[in-house]
Amino acid sequence: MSGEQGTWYPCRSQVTEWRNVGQDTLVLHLTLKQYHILNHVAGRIWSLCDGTRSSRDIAEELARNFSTDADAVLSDVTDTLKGFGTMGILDAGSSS
Amino acid sequence: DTPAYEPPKVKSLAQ
Repeated sequence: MSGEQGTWYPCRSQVTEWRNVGQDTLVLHLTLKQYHILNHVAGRIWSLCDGTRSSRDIAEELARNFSTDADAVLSDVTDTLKGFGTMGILDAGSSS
Repeated sequence: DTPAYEPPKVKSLAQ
């Protein structure tokens, strides 16, 4: 996997539409016709997937938002991003 | 206020 050599900057796929519903975020995959309901933390991770932030950047931003430690949330962020990738709702993203 | 931190969760549904 070439992504392991550089830093991955996950980016929301263009084949998705999403909106906030209460605290949750509803993500629709337009071609697979699948819906994904993210809780408020997963939704925040999703909103930070703009192609400019690495998983570490996202963890640090999340830690700032929730007044917690970035190292403590990094594994959650990594697992969630892997899940997003499996669902096909992230673009391949850029690596540096 | 900002809600408390919880482990991220995702539920998936097909159309």
